[in-house]
Amino acid sequence: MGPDGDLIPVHIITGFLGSGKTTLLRGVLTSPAFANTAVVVNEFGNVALDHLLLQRVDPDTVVLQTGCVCCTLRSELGAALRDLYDKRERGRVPPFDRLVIETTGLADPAPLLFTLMADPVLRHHFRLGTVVTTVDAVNGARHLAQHLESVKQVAVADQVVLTKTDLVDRASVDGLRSAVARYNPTAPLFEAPAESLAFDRLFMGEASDSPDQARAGPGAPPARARVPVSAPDDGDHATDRHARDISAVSLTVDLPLDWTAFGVWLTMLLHAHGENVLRVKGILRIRGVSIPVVIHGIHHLVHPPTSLPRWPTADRRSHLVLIVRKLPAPAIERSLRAFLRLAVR
Amino acid sequence: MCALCGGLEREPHWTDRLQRDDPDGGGAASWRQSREAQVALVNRILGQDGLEVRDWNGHVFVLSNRTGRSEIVPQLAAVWSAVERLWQCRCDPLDPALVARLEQEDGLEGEPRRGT
Repeated sequence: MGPDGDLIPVHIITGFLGSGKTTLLRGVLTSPAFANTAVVVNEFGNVALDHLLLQRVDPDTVVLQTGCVCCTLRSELGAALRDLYDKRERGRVPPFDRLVIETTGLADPAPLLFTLMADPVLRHHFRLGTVVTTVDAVNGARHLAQHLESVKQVAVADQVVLTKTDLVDRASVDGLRSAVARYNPTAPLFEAPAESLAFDRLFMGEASDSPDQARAGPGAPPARARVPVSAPDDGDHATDRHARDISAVSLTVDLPLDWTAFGVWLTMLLHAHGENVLRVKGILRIRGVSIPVVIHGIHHLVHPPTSLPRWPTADRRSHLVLIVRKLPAPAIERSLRAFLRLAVR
Repeated sequence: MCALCGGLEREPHWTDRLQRDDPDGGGAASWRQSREAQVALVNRILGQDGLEVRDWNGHVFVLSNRTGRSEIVPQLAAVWSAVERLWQCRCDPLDPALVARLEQEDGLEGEPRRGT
């Protein structure tokens, strides 16, 4: 177990309005495999928990028959999580060993992720787990074209669940898959109905550093270096333009990377352009390290690097994917190349 | 707080948390080596007289300019903001002038290439 092994993983369910977040949550809450889970929901009423209720701890917190703790968010997230952890330590709620948070449909998930990664108290108790984004097959393409929040939700995802796929034809699903992949070429896509999803696959591991993720991870899909999305014409054109500005930049480096040069480059890039770097993901071959190193970050914040026990495929090259807004791929590529070469001399 | 130097304990930055294969296993020697490499590289990128970044005891970075003004920063990511304050410049790795200077110094070839 790594240095963060004692921290409680926090998984995020995000997705646009009506995209199936609550259905997914209901599945988590009723799954025996998730008995030791605390769930933060927008509204108790939406999840329809009454028949599962075992104990009401306070107006915002209930314990379910499955052993799950469920609470609503009435205050700022950081305060709510500190309070929930305090209840756990005092034995007022069962000692949950994972946390799932449902965001609101119109939320940009980045501030929530910042809170988890940067809060000086929370980061000693919790660590970011998997970000699961639901995308509605009926309206998802339109949401992506018209709402920047929807694009951001997809951009930060570790896993994407396409919902309501039974309500549209195959061509529409394939089109949506392409649209999602343009904004996030590294996230595996699931198409199963939320009720029948294998939740352990979605949440049990930390997707960003699991071999499965690495196999489908940065560089694995045939990602173009910069791929503006093609949006339908019936949308809000101002928002549409914002969405068009977001693209995935995929870089491959054949030789082992110098960690110092890479760190200097990425810290400088995020200092100057962190607001426009929605997500960084990479599986890296580092000089002096025999196993693959996984890195991921959101805006200005980067997780401590983790390692995979082995290379997931025969490909031993470094693959780095940046999901960026208004940053030109050739400039990023040229800059990284220049910094890496500094360390060679 | 460190009993020897009085420095406040700090959270390791992500750039300091790589587990290497070397026999030292990330101990004092490799830590010192890593800090020296960071400082050398940052100074090379800054590339001009008058502003210098130094490592202090493997604990913090000290930046100083030609007027003698100095600033202490806890980790690599904070260096860039301090450089901008002390030097009245912008630290941007995508700055074409910076990239051109680095390329000129090194005669670039090849790496990396974009994904297919």
